[in-house]
Amino acid sequence: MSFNWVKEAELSLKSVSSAAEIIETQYKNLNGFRTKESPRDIVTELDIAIEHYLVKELSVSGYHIIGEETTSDEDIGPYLNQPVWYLDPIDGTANFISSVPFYAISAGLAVGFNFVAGTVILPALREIYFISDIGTSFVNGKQLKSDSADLKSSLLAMAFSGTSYNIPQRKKQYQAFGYLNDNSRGCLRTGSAAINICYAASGRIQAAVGLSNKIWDIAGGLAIARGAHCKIHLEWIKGTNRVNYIVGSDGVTQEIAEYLRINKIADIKPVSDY
Amino acid sequence: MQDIVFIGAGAINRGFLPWIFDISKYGYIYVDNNRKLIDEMNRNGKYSTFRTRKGKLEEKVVTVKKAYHLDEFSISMVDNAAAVFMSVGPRNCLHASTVLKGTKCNIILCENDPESVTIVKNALNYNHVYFAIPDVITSNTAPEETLLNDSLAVHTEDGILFIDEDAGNFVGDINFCSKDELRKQWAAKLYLHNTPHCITAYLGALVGARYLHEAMKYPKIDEIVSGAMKEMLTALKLKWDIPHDFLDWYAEKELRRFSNELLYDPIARVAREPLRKLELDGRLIGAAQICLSMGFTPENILIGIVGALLFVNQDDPDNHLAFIRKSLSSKALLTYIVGLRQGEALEMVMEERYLKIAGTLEKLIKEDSI
Repeated sequence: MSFNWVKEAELSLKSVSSAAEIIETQYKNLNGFRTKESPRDIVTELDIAIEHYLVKELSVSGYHIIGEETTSDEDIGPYLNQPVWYLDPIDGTANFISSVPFYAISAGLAVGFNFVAGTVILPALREIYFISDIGTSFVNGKQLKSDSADLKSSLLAMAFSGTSYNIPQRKKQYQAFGYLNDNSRGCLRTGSAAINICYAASGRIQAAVGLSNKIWDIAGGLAIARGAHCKIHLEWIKGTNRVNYIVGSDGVTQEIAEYLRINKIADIKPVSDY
Repeated sequence: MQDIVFIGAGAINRGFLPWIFDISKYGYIYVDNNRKLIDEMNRNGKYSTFRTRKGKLEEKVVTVKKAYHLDEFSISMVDNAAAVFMSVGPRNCLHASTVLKGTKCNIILCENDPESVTIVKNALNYNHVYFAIPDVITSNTAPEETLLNDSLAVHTEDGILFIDEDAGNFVGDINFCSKDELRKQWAAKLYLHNTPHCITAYLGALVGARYLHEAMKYPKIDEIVSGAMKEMLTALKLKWDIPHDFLDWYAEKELRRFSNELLYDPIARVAREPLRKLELDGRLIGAAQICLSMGFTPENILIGIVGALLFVNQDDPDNHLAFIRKSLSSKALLTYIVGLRQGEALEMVMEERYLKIAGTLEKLIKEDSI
């Protein structure tokens, strides 16, 4: 089967890897930060600089670009059925400013729910996840391929939005976190949704779960997961830039989806069902 | 009659090992994941392996008792195996070993990576797994005129098989040796054979050569390969307590091998999986690190490393390297893909010279392309 997004895959690899050099050369001169919607929602001048750089580089594709630092909810809807780049200049900024190495630069190209190309780079951990010219996913040149697993033998990771948009819903999210943590080998919260998904694609963990995450946090990771033949369950929360998702190995993703549905936390369907 | 089971029907198992055993004493069973090859083995029931010896070719007709596709084989199908020889490539050991669950005989790995023994032992929870070093160059094919008569024919050298002495319960022309001797042989094989051998292949690929001996006919390639050999010889003499006359003899023997016109050793085979050959403790990066740690910069091995990074073959499992190279800076290529640490000596030397060496190699392509 031919892969029709070779130029875009190349562009994202080139742009995101170059953007990582901005962090490497400028992080020592980092001059403070500010918070946005919550104490966890942090932006630095490097977030802004990297987003501007990526927007400039990716604009040669002619596709619409939606980035974390420059987009509001209203920007999302009209573009869903045409190719859109989703950017997160630093996913895990709270980790970044504390020198915790779990942060990533992420860019993903999607047409609707089909995440076709993307790159996620972890500068501090020297890992680069990308889609190749044949549509398969790699980390540092090694091919990724998802396997199957059940919940009790899985290590998981979960990501929540920085803000509680709905208090009862938030309680249910934490209930889900507790359930998954107690019924598996554990549920991590790395602080980077992009890293969670890439780790699931690489088989280090068996599933990444996200509730009310911003689409730009995960678009690059979802492209990587697709190229690693992961199971992807995705629910776009209507009229917003937020999504619920379960990504990872066959078996465990289905078990988690059923738990979330039965407990009325989220109804997240496999991507192929849309 | 006992059987020997060969997992992998490529160069070593098909071409070299049949010369080691007395054909009248063992039945040969082959297992491979190449359906066409397996069907042909079963249809023909035999094939020829040609050995170069003293400048002449000798032929041995090998009778194939039975051949199986990997997916359809289990060791339980063989009642009286004397030994299993596995040669499938280090990346494929884990998967291939699944068919050996429940084996009761020794498993000998001719895998160009001692670590593969641990992988198979752990996968099978079985201790009788041993490392072997085939000191030989074996092609996985033969000249076209030979293939017309026998599509399974292969060419090999007259080599030596070194096996861990603990595995010695079967008969053949085998050099069973101590673990110390095996370590010495491995150091020589890895750095005086594998290192210059793959450099020859990567440079040969750049000028469009098909076989190794064709590459060695280019004076510049010969000069770089001989230079790399001298660098490794110097490093090994400084680093390890291995007799110098053994190392000198080994190096001289290897250089002669690379030019052997009777072998028809395909460059695509030797250059296969460049990312594996660029592993940190392997034949290129590991070799360069030893030289640097001994106090000198291995200029010719650095050329080989760049040659590996420039390798293009659409049929190679690592062909995505070409895509990566187009998109990443040399610094990102060296740190993210090769895995060098930022600021370490080899990273700094490679980063400084990468573009210059790549330019020199491009000149080589223009001047010397076939």
